[in-house]
Amino acid sequence: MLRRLLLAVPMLIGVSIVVFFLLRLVPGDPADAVLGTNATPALEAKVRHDLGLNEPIWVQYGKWVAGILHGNLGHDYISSQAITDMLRQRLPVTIELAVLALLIAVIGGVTLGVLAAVRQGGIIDSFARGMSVLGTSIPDFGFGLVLILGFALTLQIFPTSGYVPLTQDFGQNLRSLILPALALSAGFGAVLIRITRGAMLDVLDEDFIRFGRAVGMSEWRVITRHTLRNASIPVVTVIGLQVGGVLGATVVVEQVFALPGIGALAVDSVLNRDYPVVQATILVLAVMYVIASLAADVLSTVLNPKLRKAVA
Amino acid sequence: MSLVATGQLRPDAGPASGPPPARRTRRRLNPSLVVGGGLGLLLLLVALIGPLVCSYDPNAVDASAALHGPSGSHLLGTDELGRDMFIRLADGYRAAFEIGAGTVAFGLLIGVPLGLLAASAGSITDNIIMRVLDVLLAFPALILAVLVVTIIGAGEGALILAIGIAYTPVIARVMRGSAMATRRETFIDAARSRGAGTLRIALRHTLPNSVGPLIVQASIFVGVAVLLGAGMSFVGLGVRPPTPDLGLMLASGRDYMTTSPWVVIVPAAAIMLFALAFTLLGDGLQTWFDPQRAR
Amino acid sequence: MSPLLDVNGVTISYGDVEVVHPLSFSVDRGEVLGIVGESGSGKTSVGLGMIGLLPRNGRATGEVMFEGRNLLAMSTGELRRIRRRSISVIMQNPAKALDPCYTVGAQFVEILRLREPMSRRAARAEAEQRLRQVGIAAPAHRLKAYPHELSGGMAQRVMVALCLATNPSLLVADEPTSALDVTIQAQILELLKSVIADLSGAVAIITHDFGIVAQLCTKVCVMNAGRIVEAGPVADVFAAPQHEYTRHLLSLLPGHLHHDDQTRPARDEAESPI
Repeated sequence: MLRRLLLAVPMLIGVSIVVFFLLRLVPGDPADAVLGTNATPALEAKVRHDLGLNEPIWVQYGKWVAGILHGNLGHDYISSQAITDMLRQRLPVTIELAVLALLIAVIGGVTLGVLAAVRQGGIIDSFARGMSVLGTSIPDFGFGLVLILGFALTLQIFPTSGYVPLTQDFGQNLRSLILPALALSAGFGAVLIRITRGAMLDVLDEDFIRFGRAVGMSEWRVITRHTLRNASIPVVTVIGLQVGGVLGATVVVEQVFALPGIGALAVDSVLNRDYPVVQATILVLAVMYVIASLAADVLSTVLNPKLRKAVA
Repeated sequence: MSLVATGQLRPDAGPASGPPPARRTRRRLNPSLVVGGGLGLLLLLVALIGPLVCSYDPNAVDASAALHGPSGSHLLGTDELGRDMFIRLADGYRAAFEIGAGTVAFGLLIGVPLGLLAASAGSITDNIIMRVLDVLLAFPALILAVLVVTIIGAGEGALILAIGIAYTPVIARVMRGSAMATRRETFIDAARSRGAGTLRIALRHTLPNSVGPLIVQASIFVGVAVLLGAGMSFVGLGVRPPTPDLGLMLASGRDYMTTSPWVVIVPAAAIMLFALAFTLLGDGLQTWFDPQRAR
Repeated sequence: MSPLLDVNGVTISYGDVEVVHPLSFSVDRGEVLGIVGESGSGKTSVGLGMIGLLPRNGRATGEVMFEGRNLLAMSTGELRRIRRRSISVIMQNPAKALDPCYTVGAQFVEILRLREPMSRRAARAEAEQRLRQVGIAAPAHRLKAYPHELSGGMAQRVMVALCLATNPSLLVADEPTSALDVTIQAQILELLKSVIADLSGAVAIITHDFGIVAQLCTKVCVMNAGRIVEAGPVADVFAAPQHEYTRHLLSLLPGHLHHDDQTRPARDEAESPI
């Protein structure tokens, strides 16, 4: 277990290097971006000094990383707000959205995948496979807009946009997130249907399932206790990999529903050329993904007795 | 660029073509392949022929015709500036094919040699390449694409490069995995025993045997790339207006969707059909190349 | 009185392909039937099909009378009850026949508690005793192990113990030794011999190996291409094989001297025994 945790460290270092150095490739001087049209040579020199741009790039990187470890991601160019504060406001929105979307996708996708495999070739199977193809093909933002059109504008069950914090009102919070989470979950749920169905079918072909039936286990027991349990290993691995897709998609979906999350912040900061914020948001999203895949990796190892002892 | 895209649409994937060659008795046309291939071909026809048969100018603003519903004169209605939706859709599909084909071409051009190199060269080279790719894969694809766009700016070319870079590691991994699998085959040993060099084996034996998985992956990526690209255009990080693009059409239509739902539904459905075609095609090709796995 | 298991005109098909053509045989208490044939002869399909264990696309028709009732015409619930109490199957590959996600003990307890309601503690105690019966020295230790931690021979011993735990009146063994190392095969064969000697019920052994038939069985059916080509008491068939296919299979036994070139196999992918 420890080894796996340690393997995440070079990964995180790699991610921070990519984020830091790639953004230094942006043409133009960051000082210009800060000053805009007010630039005078004297002011520029001062800003360059303030931003530490005169130091060697490795020193700048080191200071940046040291800052992150102390919870200081710098200030944004435009309003000089501390980026850490911005993240503190926006992170809960994105995490809550992603978790809700994952929850919907896992419950829906796994259920459909299991039913499809158990009744292979039946009506539910056809339905599940259709949903899987459809869900993979549907653009999340397009789906989001259609959801707004149907449920918010026409039926007026849910708000069209905006976010109510969890701490303020749980019911309203859920109402404000249900449509975006649905939009976000379509593609991910589609993958889960397919993976779950495939994993279940693979396990159902195994000898121990036949043996279970041979000793007179009920079909329910064969499916839940044995098939599902074995199929859960590949499914959990895939869930971890899919978190990246979900986090990436928040960039677009938060925009559709005007949610004040990290994804929306990333887009805004790119459009505003506010590079420290771009840097911070991309880093945070990548780190969240690394942590999620690590968690899935650890969980699927724990679920698999063949690997468990090697890790412990 | 379009060569790669049409390469996905194998002649025998179209619904009008005859039965597959007799020597491929195990490989059979399957519904996914036929429907996906046929739909893809149809959309390609819309993109290529649409502008020829439709007399409207995709950028001609006509305030008097704004937000007209679908009718005889405007097949799919008009948008908020009175532009014909069908011609913009056709142009949007052209852009989609360019983005899809360009992305895949880029991914294959960089990813295949990288994967081959990792599989064929020593373990040190392999490790270095794979660790670097791992770091790139640690970014959600869309986030990596956003990062690239930040550096090189928005636009169709930038979008192709951005999504291409985001997916290159995946292609390289598929290539490497497939090369590693074929490496254990006896014909590779036979070639090596005949004194064939590493490069020769990689190009003459490993690569041709990895064509199946690569084509499947490429087909899936065309759909995924267009979904991603449309999303990025939608939030303003992709194709710039006034270029007709399906994502942009959605973005500009959203303000009018209460009164004129078609301005949103048409481009959303259009993107979905495109992705559907290539998802099905990918499924179908998978079954085609690996009939035993399919069920 | 009719025999314990009476198979009457049973066919087995996968999809539209009939792999086992109508055939009949019977086994009574105290008898050990060998169903012999090459891979593809349909012997495993018969052995598992008669107790309703075909893969999803498989279908069995005909009549399989067991203790006076037709197994093929039963509801799944009735069939399940009979499997819990009266029929056991030793699977071909013991390493794959145990669920890799649970310990041997957990699976043993689960199966014992299917047979009759009992506490986990009691089930665990019985499991230990059952393992000891099949020659496993440190049963408590083995019960804590996962299937992948067992050797092939150990796994097959566990399998045998599991199958005996229900005191079955019919024991079916599908190629009980072929997935094992040659050295282990002999040990498991010895184990099966003693197990069968203690068993009051009927046994059906599916195998491609006439050597096993010679050691364990009292009667034999020789199958080829989905049909029984010869059947009878083992001693008779060995002494005077009537069918040329039987003679061919017998000629493959080690130590056999009659090499007759005219007895070509009907199918050319014959597995060599042992």
